[in-house]
Amino acid sequence: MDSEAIGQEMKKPGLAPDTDARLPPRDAAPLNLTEKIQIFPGQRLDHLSHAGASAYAARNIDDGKSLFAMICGKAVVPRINSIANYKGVNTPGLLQLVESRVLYWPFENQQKLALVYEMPPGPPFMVNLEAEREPIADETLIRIVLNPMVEILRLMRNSDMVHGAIRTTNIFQGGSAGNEIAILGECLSAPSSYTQPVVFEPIERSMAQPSGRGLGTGEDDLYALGITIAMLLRGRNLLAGLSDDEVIGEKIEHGSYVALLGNERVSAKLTEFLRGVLSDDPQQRWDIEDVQKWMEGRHLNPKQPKIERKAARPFEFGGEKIWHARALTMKLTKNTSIAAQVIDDSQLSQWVRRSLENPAIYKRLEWAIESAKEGGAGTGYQQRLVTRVCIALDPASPLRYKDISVLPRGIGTALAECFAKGGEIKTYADTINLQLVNFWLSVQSEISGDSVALVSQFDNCRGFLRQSMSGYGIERVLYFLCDEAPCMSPTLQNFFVATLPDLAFAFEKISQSESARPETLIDRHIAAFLSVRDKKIMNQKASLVGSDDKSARNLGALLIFAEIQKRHRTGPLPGLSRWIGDIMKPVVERYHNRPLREKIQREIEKVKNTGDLVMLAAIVDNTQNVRADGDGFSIAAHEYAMLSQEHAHLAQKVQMQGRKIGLKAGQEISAAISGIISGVIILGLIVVNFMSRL
Amino acid sequence: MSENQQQQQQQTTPPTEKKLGWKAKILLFFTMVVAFVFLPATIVVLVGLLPTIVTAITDRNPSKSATVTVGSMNVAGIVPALFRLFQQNYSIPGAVAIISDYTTVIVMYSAALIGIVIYNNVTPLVSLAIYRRARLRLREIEKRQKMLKDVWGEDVAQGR
Repeated sequence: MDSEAIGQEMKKPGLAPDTDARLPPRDAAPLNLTEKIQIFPGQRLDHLSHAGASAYAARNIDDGKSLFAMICGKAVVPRINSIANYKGVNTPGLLQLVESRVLYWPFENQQKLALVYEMPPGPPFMVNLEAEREPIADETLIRIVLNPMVEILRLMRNSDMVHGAIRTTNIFQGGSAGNEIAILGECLSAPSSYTQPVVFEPIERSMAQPSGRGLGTGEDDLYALGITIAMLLRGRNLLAGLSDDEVIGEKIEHGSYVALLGNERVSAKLTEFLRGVLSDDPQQRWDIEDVQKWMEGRHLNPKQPKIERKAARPFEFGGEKIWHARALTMKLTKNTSIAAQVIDDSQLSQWVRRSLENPAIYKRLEWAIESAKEGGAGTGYQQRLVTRVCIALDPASPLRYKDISVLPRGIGTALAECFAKGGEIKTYADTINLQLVNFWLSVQSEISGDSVALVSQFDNCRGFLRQSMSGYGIERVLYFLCDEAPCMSPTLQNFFVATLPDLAFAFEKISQSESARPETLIDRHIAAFLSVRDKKIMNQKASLVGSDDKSARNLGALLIFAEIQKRHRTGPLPGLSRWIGDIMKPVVERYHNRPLREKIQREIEKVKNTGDLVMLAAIVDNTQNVRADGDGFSIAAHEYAMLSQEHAHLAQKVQMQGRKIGLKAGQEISAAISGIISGVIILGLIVVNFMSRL
Repeated sequence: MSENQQQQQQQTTPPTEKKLGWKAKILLFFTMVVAFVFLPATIVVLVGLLPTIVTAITDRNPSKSATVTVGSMNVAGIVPALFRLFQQNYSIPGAVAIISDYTTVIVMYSAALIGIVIYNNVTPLVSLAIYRRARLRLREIEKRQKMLKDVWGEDVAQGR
């Protein structure tokens, strides 16, 4: 099946990649990503695209090798921090990443991140989840798919990486006849598990929204591999055609193993593997070591799939009969007011105590109800109550608050998506302020070191939310929780800024159009982005950037960009330098000394065209000048005050006494002159008298 | 009225005149003695210093600068007469002869007159100079303040 045919298959409802009105026309000219790599925007590859990124054909100009480029936006955060690790997984079973860099995507007038991979040698094992194919025999499946996939997962584990996109539609057929090999597709263009259909995720993760699943584990990858193997073994997806909720319901009811494999026989060897990796109990689920032992021929005898205990009597909610606590959590969040009512009038507690007969759940439930009431029964009580009760009923399930459903480790990526798509940010702020993550962690059966780190992380987030100054707030939370999120500043809406040099280059571009220049260079988003990405830069300039005084904010921006230019050796930034130079007038006016101002202004005019922000900062923010100016001004102000005092005193005297002002002094001088003349005369007479006697 | 009552009344009644202190009393006593001992000189001095005495009485200035000015010159004017008294006939008739000599009196009073001339001319002259200097200083201050404003801006006047 060629790519176009696969693309047509992918266009079926529910599976079609994100469509965009601004898609490049089919005759769009190629774009050069590098000197060697050319991207063909007119050749969209639907079967490689997903909701977060579009795939386009590309090629290596030198050797003509066929490539494809994933063009990623900001809403679905690409895994830029995993690029190096991905490149380190050097095995023929994994699609190789050839290039990754930001490019200008003219069709949306935006910068995008392009991830260029080698073109898969063949079609995916399944074009979509409804498709049927020839079942693959056990031994062939192990040789072609299982062995290379396990090798990849082992290497990824060694690189401290999780794939998060193992599925039948992302594993491609490769190799020659008789020497076939499965090639695992890319995983960097979206957060871990974002692109996974619900069926490939363990039950607890599948209940979270795609952007809120968070980074999974090697066991989650193995679970996805188990589902992939099950589908290829059966030649189809037994849960095809069901909605996401129905898929989860089936898994809850029968367990993942039975739901995906049915009651048909599976070879003993694969049964052991599949029971191990598809265990619905995360504690029992196999990890990579278990799989390797199994591959070496050791029998691990996984326990029978642990199916969630069914209640003795169903709980009737919204006209439906629900038998499992986990399934009930999915229903409760869909109708909060009725859910709160059944919780408040103890119907739910009675059902848990009498029908579910699970004291642990009952205890958690009571605690959840009590803790929800601590905040009072006012606004938001029902939401709080239902969220906590759902966590109590199914601790492994995601946090479901209002319209979000996220696992704690996925809040960052979900928040990034919410920001990019203009969603209800306040819901995330509420989730953090209500300490729902702490409650979620407190009811988990296992507390790991990671949990302690999470508590501390969300305590920090609450601290950020309490502070309103620039560099804090929900924006800081975003970049703190999602360290791969590009800057979401409205100023940078057309730019993909993931690093500090990217930020400087983006502003260099913005500077070229005067109409595009924002009033404030370092807005709340950029301040928060910088605070997380480079604390040193922001710690020193936070007060300037957060100041109400525009000149202080401009100075802060200059110092920040100068620091970025110096540290990251970005080279000259003449546009940015001219822009900042032009807005430095109020900063220069902070100096009191006029001649010094003129001198600095002349120097700014001289330097601003060179693009040297470091020099510009040294001129404007010269510590010696600042100190000398401050000291000089103090002395001058003191002198002025003294002169004013003297002037007032003298002017009053002149006004009141007029010409008589020196009368007293004149009288005294007269007396003195008279005294001196008299003394001289007397002395002369004495001398004459004395001489005449001799 | 008993003796005790009289004493009490004396103690409670406030003194209406400033009494001289004992030091002043001793000084006055010695001056009187010296004046009496040198009576001929005292006669010459008293007659010669008449302009100074008159000035002292009319001078209302607390610093008595007019008295000092006239007095200084007046003293210089009576010194030749005193020399003559001591050298020729130190006696009361000698003193009377000296003060009867109009030339001597003219000399003494002319000296006092010079004192008056000094006082009346030097005082306004100096006063005018000081007045002009004050006006000049005011202009200098204004100029300096303008210069400070030119260099440091209007804020310098507010000190912030």
